[in-house]
Amino acid sequence: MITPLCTLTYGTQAKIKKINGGLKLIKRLNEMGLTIGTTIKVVSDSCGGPVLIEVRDSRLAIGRGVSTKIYVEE
Amino acid sequence: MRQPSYTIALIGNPNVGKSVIFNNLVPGARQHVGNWPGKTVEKKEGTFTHYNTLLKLVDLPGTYSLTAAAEDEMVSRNYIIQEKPDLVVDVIDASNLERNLYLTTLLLELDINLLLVLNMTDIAEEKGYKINVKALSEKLGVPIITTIATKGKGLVELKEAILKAAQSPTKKRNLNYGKKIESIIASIVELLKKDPEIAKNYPLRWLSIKALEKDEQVLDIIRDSPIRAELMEGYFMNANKVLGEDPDIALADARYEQINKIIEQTLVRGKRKWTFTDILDKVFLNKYIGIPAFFALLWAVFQFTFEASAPFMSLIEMFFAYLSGLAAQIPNEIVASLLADGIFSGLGFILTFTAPIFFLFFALSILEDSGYLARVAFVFDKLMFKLGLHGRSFIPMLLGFGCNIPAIMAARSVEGKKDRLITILTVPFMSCAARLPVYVLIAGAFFPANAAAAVWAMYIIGIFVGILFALLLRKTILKGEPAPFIIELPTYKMPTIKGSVIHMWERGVSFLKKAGTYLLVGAVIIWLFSVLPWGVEPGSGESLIGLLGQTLQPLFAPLGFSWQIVSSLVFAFLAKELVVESLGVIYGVAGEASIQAALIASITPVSAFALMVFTLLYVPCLATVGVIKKETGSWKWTLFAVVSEIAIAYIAALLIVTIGGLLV
Ligand SMILES: Nc1nc2c(ncn2[C@@H]2O[C@H](COP(=O)(O)OP(=O)(O)OP(=O)(O)O)[C@@H](O)[C@H]2O)c(=O)[nH]1
Ligand SMILES: [Mg+2]
Repeated sequence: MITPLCTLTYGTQAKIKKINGGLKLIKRLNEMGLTIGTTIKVVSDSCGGPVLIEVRDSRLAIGRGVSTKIYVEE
Repeated sequence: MRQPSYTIALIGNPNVGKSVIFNNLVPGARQHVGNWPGKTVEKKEGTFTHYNTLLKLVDLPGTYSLTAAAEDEMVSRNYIIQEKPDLVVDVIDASNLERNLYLTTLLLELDINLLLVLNMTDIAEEKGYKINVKALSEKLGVPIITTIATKGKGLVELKEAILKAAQSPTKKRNLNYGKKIESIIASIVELLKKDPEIAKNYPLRWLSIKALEKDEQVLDIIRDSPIRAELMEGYFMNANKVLGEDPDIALADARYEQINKIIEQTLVRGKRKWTFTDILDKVFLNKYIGIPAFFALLWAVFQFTFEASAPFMSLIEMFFAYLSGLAAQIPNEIVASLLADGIFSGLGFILTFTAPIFFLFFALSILEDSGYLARVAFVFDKLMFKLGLHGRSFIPMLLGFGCNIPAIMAARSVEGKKDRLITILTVPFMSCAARLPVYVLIAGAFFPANAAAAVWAMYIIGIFVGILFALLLRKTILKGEPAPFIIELPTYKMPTIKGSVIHMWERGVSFLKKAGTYLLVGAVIIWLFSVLPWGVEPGSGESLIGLLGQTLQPLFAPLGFSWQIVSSLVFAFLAKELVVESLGVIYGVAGEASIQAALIASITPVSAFALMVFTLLYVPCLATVGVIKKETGSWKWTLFAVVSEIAIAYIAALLIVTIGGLLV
């Protein structure tokens, strides 16, 4: 099932399926390691706030505005 | 002066250790180092010699790509592309190879002379990584040096490699981005060759890739070319069709694919271990205790500052009281007064606060070096997002606790023009170290039992007013959505006593320098104002300072400030330390206790609290005003900042006096 990143809870692993945003945002996410098909792991969710994920060996904090635009599949 | 033979640029992702390397290579360099992304915001040049060859080294702001999103990243891109250094040193965090290599692929496309540094190999090892450096170097076609910059390991080899690479540039190697993309690139290269002007001046493969990515500067280059129309319509349309998606995205995917292929053959990841960082993040980023934990830490900082500095303060005070006593015995009346009442009572008094300022810097550098600072942005993002603000702004704001000037400059790492402007205008409400002496003095006099708590309250009020002000701006003149918030959180690093002491020392020394220059001149001027016209009782109502204070005092009567306080606030426009300094001169008594007694006699505790808040919120110092002008590039915004700060300070102080009057 495809859901926005912000709905995932602590410890879940998921694959990025789609990024709903302008090309600028997509490029920014790409260069920070988030591309379609990348596996991510949620390290801390803060319900309504930012999500902390592990991707390609780094820890990224993703703000609420962005995490609703990234769609993932568990 | 000898001209450097080669120019070498340090580039890399944020927080990989570029500045530590720079400081190690360039004798005497003191670039700001700390554990969060985005410290270096402008390029910094220095030179070093190796085997008699003089080399220029340039430390650049960290960046994730060569298509800048924030002001600081723009600096790096422009430097590499326009200044064309002889050698580019790409610093990589060895414990985060995969994402770091993305920038490397972009640099490889640029067809420049490149050297890789795998830094933080100690952390990679802790993580259980085994990197086959030789194979990696072969696959990328670039020489690689491994280092642990903080321990100075590998730096001699690095110097050696830098000189060698600068003297004999390595041949370029292109990564293969797969059939589809490569054939599109090849066809564009063929087309570009038809324009001799372009073919002569640019690496064509790079130009083709950037044109596909619709890079604005590259499109500018092509704008006047006869082949433009053909490229735009025929080739780009075709690329979209063949790839089935935007070429930008296809290229990013292709780059990561190459990286993964290379990593598979060169990196063995050990089993993922439960790390220190995991444990700390469970606590500090927890949705319930994250914010309370921040305030608790802040409280601990001030408790520490107070307790640790108290004995030192009495020592320094005794020393200046002694000097002042000696000076009073000098036969020449004017010299005696200048030394005893001006320098030793004024400047000497502010110097007693060296102790808390040093300890505050020590505590803050622990927060910075540990990696906690970036976490605060995360913890507050939820609240900030709801208010339409940017969590990233919190990093410059907290830096403001040390000094507002670098904090305002740090706002360059905040994405989005409006977000950056809001951050710049918010920082001055953050209580810098120069305001601390005022709090220590007043809180010590009026709230001796809860002095640390009263000071802590100032910092919280500062944050609170800052957020409210930002919100107000967002809802009125700087409307808009916050720029997307994405920040990389560094792994926690154990701050070393040595590192923190060095940090404390460097900043503390800059305070002492300020004391030796501005504050000394300030003391002399204030003393002059207090003794002229010559013959009046120094610091009395008949002196210039008295006349000044009494003229303006009616404006501050509703706040209950005496004229002495009003004069000191006027001088403190130059620097906040002057509040304390002028009180020392005006009351003409040496020592904290006697000035405190004089204050208690002249204002009520409620007014005293209002005075602390007023000092907190009004214009930090002249230098900050200068930086606001420089960073916003606009007198209009600078004036706006100054006026709004004074207005807010006045309103807040008035509120306190009014409410306090009802309660007490
Ligand atoms: N353990 C370890 N820590 C390191 C090493 N090199 C640097 N650091 C730490 O990493 C952090 C970042 O170092 P900086 O030199 O400020 O990083 P930078 O690349 O200049 O960062 P920006 O200017 O923000 O782009 C600091 O806390 C350093 O002490 C290393 O080899 N090992
Ligand atoms: Mg740096």
